[in-house]
Amino acid sequence: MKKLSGLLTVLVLLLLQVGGAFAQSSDYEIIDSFKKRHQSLLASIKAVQDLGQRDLLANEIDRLEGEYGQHRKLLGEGLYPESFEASIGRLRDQLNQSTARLHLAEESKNDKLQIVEKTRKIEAQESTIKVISTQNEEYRAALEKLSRDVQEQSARIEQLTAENTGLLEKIKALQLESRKDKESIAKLRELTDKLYANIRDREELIVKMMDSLFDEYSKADLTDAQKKNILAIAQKNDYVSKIVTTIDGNINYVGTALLTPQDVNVIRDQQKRLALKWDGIKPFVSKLYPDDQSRTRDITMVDGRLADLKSGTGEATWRSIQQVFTTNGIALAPFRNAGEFSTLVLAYVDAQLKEPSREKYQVFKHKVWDSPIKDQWLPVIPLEELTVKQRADLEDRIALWDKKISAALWRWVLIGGFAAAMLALVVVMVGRKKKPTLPA
Amino acid sequence: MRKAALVCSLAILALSGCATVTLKPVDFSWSYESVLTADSAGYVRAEPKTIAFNAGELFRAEMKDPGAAAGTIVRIIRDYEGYYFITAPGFRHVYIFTGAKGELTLKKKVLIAEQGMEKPFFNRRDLGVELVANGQAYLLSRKGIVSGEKK
Repeated sequence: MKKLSGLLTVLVLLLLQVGGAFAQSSDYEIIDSFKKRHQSLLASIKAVQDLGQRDLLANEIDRLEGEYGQHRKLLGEGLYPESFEASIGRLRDQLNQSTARLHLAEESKNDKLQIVEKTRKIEAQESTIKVISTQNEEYRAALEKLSRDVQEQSARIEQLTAENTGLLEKIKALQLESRKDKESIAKLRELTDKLYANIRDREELIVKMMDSLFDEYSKADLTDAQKKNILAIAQKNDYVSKIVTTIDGNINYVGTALLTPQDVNVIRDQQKRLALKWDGIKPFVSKLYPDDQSRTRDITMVDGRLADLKSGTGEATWRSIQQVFTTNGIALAPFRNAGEFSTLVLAYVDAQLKEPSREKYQVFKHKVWDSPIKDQWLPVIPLEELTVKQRADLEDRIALWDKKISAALWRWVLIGGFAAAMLALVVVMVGRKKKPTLPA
Repeated sequence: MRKAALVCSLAILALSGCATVTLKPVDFSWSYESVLTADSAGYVRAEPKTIAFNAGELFRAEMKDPGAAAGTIVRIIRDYEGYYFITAPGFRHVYIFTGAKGELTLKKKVLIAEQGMEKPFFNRRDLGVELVANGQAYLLSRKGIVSGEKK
């Protein structure tokens, strides 16, 4: 608005200037018009709003001086006590003052802009600080909860570990007795089930602890200090040691347990899950160590333990399969893999082929082989371990045993039939001899 | 030194003994005209005050109506000798007065235009008073038009 009024003033001045022709003028009018233009110009100079207007007004002063210079003497009298030069000089002084004012205003405007900008930045920073403070509060609360949870989980893990130690001792004592009776096996089974349940609970807790720490650590907006806090919690709760203990617990369990085929599936799934989880948290775990040596040592140790768990699960599977044979009175030498299993079973069947026993065949066929070995256990054994050929060989050999048993049966049937026929013949013949002695 | 002191003393004695003192030459001229607006009573005056008088008689003479003065501009200038030149838009004449003892006494009435003047104005010039009216410039003295032709 001010700019507009300033511009209008300049335009008015230009219009006044148009009227400043002095072909035949009244001296009075010359003086009067000069005074008016001077006054108007002075007001415009005082009100000038920008350097563009200032330049126009400077030109206007020059123009005024040029137009009225010829009336210098007259104007000297008309403007007395001020001279024409002094009057023009006054305009220029005022213009200089206004220019200085404009520069000051410009600086002030820049300062104001800077102040506004800085104020805006400060406000934005305050807002950010507020958000960060809120986040920090939330983070602090989350961290406290995490710390509490981890401590609780840690305590529960310790408790389960102690329980498991007791259970393992009992299982080992029972195994040392080498009792193969059903009652002992049932007791062993009960203890190992309890141990396994405890191990699973502990494993769940460990995975939960891993998840909670790792998830919190993986949040994108955490600062380095916040991450350090989480690492401190992990270190304080002996994170890696608990992972190792859990895997060791599993290894011990599969080293002593008698598994069902369902157990094998579950254990394998858990083992895979644990291995995957471990791969996921390795980068996080790496940060817990201050030096490379201990980091490499512990990570290699966990990797090794996981490999042991995998092989231990395989051994436990074969041991449990052997237990099926043992429980049904079939004595096989211990086997720990598919090759040994195949060889020993074939050897057993071959031995039976030499002296086929229908009773042994029935037990082997119906209580061991068809179920649970063939329908439950063999499906959980990978084909890479027990090959198709090995399976076919076993089936063929058992089929041969079946034929032998069947042949023996038919033989006995034929013998029985022949004996019955002979007996019937004897009875008929005896009956005929007695017939003539009968009275007519 | 003594001579100078004696001359000064004689001069002081001579002056104190005179009855009248005449200062001359005197330039009574105004640098430029006064443009005054008559009030409802026909009086013209201005601030700073130059001269104030009732112009009603002039309007009576020019227009037969002294009331016509009200609100009308009257232009006045004084020449070197102290004569007042007065006119106004619509006047046919320039009136030349002498002023003394609270009066303006008409010395000359100069006919400029029978049809009356449009936008007349005065300027002081070295040789007299310039009147510009109806696009024509006239040089005036207390005796009338010095140059320029009346229409």
